[in-house]
Amino acid sequence: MGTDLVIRDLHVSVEGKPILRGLNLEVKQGEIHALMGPNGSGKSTLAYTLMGHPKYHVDRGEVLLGGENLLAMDASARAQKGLFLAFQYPVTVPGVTLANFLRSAVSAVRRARGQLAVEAAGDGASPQEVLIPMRQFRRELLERMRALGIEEEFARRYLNEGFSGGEKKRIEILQLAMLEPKIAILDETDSGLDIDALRTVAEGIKRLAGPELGVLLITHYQRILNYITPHYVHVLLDGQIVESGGPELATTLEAKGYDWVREKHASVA
Amino acid sequence: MTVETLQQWSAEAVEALSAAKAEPSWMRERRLAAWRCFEELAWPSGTEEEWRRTDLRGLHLEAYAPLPPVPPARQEEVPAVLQPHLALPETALGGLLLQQDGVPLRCELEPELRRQGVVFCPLEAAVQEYPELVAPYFMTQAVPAAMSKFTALHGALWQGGVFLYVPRGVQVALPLRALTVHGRAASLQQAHVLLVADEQAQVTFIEEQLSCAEDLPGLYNGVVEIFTQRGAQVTVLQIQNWSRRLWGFAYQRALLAEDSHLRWAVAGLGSRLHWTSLGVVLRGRGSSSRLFGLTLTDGRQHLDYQTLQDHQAPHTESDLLFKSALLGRSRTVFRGVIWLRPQAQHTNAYQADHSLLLSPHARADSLPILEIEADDVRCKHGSTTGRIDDEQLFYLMSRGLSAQEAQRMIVEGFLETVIAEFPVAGCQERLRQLVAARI
Repeated sequence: MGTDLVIRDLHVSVEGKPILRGLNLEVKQGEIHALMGPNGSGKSTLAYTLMGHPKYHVDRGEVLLGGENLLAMDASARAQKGLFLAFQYPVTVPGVTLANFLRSAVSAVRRARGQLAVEAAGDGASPQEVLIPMRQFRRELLERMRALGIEEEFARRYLNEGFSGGEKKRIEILQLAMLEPKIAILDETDSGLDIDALRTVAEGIKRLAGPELGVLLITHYQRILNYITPHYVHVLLDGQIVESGGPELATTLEAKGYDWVREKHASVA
Repeated sequence: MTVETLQQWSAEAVEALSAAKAEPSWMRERRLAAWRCFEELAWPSGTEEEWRRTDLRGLHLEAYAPLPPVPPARQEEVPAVLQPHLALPETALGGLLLQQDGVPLRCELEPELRRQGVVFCPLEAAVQEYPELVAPYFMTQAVPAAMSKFTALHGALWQGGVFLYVPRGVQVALPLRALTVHGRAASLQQAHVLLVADEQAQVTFIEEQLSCAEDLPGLYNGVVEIFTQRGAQVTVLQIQNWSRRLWGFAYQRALLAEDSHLRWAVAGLGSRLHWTSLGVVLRGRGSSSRLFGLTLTDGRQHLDYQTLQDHQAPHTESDLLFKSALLGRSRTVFRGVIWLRPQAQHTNAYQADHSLLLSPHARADSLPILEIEADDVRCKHGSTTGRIDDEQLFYLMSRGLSAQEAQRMIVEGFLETVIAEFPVAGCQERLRQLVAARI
C-alpha cells in the first residue's frame, strides 16, 4: 500500500485568525500536484501545518499519511514517517555544518524506518545515537551533491549561513534527496530564483520524482511548471481549493491571472 | 573576610616562602612589597562596578591553605587521573609542562626549540635561571601587584606557574602546552603565567586548568601576563575546567607592542564561581588583537568576565566575541569595556557577546561599556540574550531530529562558532567533547 497524503476538511488558524477553511486534497506517491494561489490564500499555512509547526492551530479536519493520523505527531515523527517540507525561507543554523546536520538527520530517519543496522554503531553508542557510517554517508552525500551541481565545500559550511537564495533552495532539494521521503511539499521553491537557478532546482526535483515520491508543489507562478509537468493543478483561494484540473489549468491561470478565479468564486470570499 | 582570620598569611609567611625557595633578593623584595599592598588594600565590598554582580559572601578564605613551599618529596609519576589529559587528540606539541599543586611533574621542550633559545619551564625555575628575562616583566607592567587585593595576595604568595620566552625572530611552529592541575583539597592555588614573545617571534600557547576530582574544594587566585613585542604573533588558548567546588579569581593582561598581533581564546567550563579580568592593552601603533570566549554553565555555577580592550595607540584594532550557554540556575556576567584613548586615532574596536539561556532559571547579564576619547575611530558592539530559536528548532525537527537532538545541535552549533576560533585541532576536539558531555 502506498503512503498517501490525505487531507480532509482542514481548518487552520494562526493566532486566532482562520486561514484554511475546509481544505480537501489527496496526494498519492508517484503523483505531482501543483497548488497555486495568490498571496495570502493560505499556501504556506498549509505547508507549515502539514509539517507540524506549533504556531499553526488545527481547528478541524484530519490529515493522514499512509493511513496514520499525522496531526498527532510532532514534526520529527512526521519526517520519520516520510513527509518532507522544502522551506520557502530555509533557516540558518550557525555552527552546524551541513554534513553534520544531514548525517544526524539521515540517521534519525533511517533508524525510525528500520534501515539502519544498530550493530553498525561500534563505540558503544546507544541505539538512539547510532549514526550512518561516515564513509557510506560521505559517498551518498557527495553523489547527490554532484547530481545537483553543489560544490563539495558546502558540506563543511554552516547550514544556510551566507548561502545565496539559489544555494539555499538547492540545499533544500539536496536534503530532500538524502532523506528519501514518500511525500514532499515544496513551498515556493521557485521563488527568488533566477532562470538558471530555477532550471537547476527544477531538474533536481524532476530527477527525484518517480513512483516512490509524491510531490505537492506550492507556487505562486506558473514558470516552474515549464520544467515540471504536474499531473494535477489546484487553485487555493481564501483557504479552500476552488479549482482542480490538469496541467492546462496552470496555463489558463498564467493567461488570465487569479482575478478570473476570484470573480468566479466571489461567493467564497 | 578579615586578615586577622588568615593566620597562615603574614609577612613572616611571605619571607619563609621566599627563603624556602631560595629566591634571589629581588623576588623576595617584590613579594614583600606585594604583601604591603595586600595589607593596605581592601577586599571588594560589592559596590565596585567590577564586583557588583559577583557575590563573595559564600567564600571563606580561611578554609584554604597555601601549598607547602617545597614539595614534600619529588614526585616522578604522573597520577593516573591525569594520564588521559597528557596528549591532545591529533595534535603534535612542541612542549608540555605539567604541574600539580605547583609541583612540576613533566617539563618537556623540543631540543631544537631549546637550541633556538626558547624557554618553557616552571616560573620558579626561570626566576633562578633567567632573572634578566623575568624581572623586567613579572608584575611590573601588565598586572602590578597593587592592581587589587587579589593581585597583591598573588604577588606575595604566588607558587607554581609557567614562564615562556620566545627570542627575537623565532617561530615556534608546534603549540606549547601547560596543564595546571589542582590536586590538593582546600588548597590555595596561585599559579602565575608569564609569556614574553620577543620581536617578530611567533608562538601558540595552550593552558588547561583542571582538578583531580569534580568535587575537590579549592581557591584559585591566578595571574596571566602576556607581552608581545614588536611584530610578534601570539596565540593563547585557555581552558578553565576546575572542579565544581573551586572559587576562582584571575587577572589576565596582555600588553601589545607595535605591529604585534594576539589571538586569545578562553573557555570557561568549570568552577563553582569564577571571576576573570581579561584585558588587552594595545600600546603600540599597528597592534591588533582578537579575543574569543565561550562558557557553558549549569547547576549554580557563576562565571563573571570583565573584559578590557584598551587602545592606547593609533592604528590599532581589537575584536571580541563571547558566547555563553547557560543551563540550570547558572549565571554569567559579561562586562566588556572598550576604551579608545585620545591618542588612539584610526582605530577599530568591536565587541559582541551572545548568551543562550537553556533554562528558565538561568541568568546572563551583559554590560558593554564604551569610553571613546578619540574621534577618528570605528567602534561597534552588539549583545543578544535569548532562548533557543523556535524556527531553528522546527527546521531541524522537520528533518527527523527529535526535539532533544535538535536542541543539542543548536547549542553545540552556538558554541562551535567560538570553538572554531581555537586554531589547534586538538583543543577544538577537547572542547567539543567537554561541551557534548555537559549538554
